Amino acid sequence: MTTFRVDADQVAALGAGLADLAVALAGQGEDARADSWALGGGEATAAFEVAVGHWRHERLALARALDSLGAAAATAGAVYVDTEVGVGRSLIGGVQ
Amino acid sequence: MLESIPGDPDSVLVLADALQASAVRLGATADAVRGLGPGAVWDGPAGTAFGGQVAALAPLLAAAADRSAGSAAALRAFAPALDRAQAAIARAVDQHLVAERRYAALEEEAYTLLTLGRTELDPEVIVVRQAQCGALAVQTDALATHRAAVADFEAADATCGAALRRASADAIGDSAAYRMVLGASSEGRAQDLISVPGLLLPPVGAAAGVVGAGADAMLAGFWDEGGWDKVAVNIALAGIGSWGKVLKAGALAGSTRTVTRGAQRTSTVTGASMTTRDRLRAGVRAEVDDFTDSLRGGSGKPFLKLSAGESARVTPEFVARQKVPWRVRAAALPDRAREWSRHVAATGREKTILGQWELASAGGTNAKQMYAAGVTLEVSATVTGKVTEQVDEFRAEDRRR
Repeated sequence: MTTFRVDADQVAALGAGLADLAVALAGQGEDARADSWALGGGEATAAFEVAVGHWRHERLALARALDSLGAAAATAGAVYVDTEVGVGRSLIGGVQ
Repeated sequence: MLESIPGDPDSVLVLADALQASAVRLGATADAVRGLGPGAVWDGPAGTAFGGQVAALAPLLAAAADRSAGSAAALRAFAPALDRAQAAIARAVDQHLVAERRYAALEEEAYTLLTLGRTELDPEVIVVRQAQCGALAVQTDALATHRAAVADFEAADATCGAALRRASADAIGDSAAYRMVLGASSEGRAQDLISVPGLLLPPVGAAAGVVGAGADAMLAGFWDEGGWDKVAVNIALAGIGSWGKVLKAGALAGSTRTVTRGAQRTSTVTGASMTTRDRLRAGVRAEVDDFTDSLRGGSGKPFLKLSAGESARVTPEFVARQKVPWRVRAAALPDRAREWSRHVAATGREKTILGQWELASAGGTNAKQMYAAGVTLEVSATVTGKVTEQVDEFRAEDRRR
């Protein structure tokens, strides 16, 4: 028999956190070339562009993955919370 | 005039703070993800499936966190050195300038004395000449200070560069080909596209907007970034027809034309399993061949026929300046282009579009989307839906015949 043991709030919070991180990650480093000016135009400027800008494809892929997992967790967490609340109410005779 | 060093230490610290914040966030997420072990917070079939998928991201999150933290530390150490060097250089530049002016003023003074009949051996002139020597010494000091400050900056720059490279020495990173196409997309560097090995060739002498639009198509096709509709509109607005042909040729790659035997019509398709990359490559090859032919005496006419005023308005630079959603940009398309689209539809290309659409359909969904985007470019319509609508009309008419 399948059993469930879920900290629903934590799952929902994790989902929201992953989705937030996905948004932040998607925008991070998009202006690497413009930002790199601040470093003075030498070796550090070029290295900064590589460090921040040259993993764009990986970064966007990671952001997409986090976004979909975040949405899945947030939805599941919300469902578990609702279920818990519903079951709790029914056990004490409350109205759903 | 002594040169100053560009850059801004305060902005470097802001970047360091942003990277550090990102590192903390990525690290915390990596830890949270690792903590999703069996039974931790979500035990059950869904939790197991979710945990399995998320766990696969943990190493990537950790690597990104390390890279951000390492970069932040490098920038934090570099900012004060840049600040010191810039301050020293600014002082040296100022000192040098004042001494230079002082020397010039003294020279005027000496000249006046000499024109009044004094000689170089006259005590008054000697005092002026000594003051000039003092001004020269100050200039020499300023030059030495400047050189030392530049050397300090270069040392700090090299140290920071090395630290940033160490921070980036991890498993994450984009391929060289991706970076070159990305560079061409954002800056329209034709040379970058040409140098992508075995990938594509842009039209010879292509303008920045053309190359950028072509690179957008590559990013959409090869790396799944952006949609065909966005690519189509960007290229259409740049006033280019050739990339539409690339997409169409790619969509039809591997297909043969419809054969009619009696009432039976069949399409032979050998390229149903072609990937988008293969299709784009085939399309680019076909377009390059076509372009080469046009150099040998073909027409090579631009597809969009706009009036002088309209052409001047819809330039790549014009498009680049429009930081507005593509739908709004599409609405700015000259009416003349739409009229021309209607003209094309009314002058007998229906059959071709319908036949090619059928072939593209046989090549799969991606080939269909690619074809629709290509036609969209050519007729300056703005959305794939319009093309499908048009094809449906042609099909209905075909059935009636």
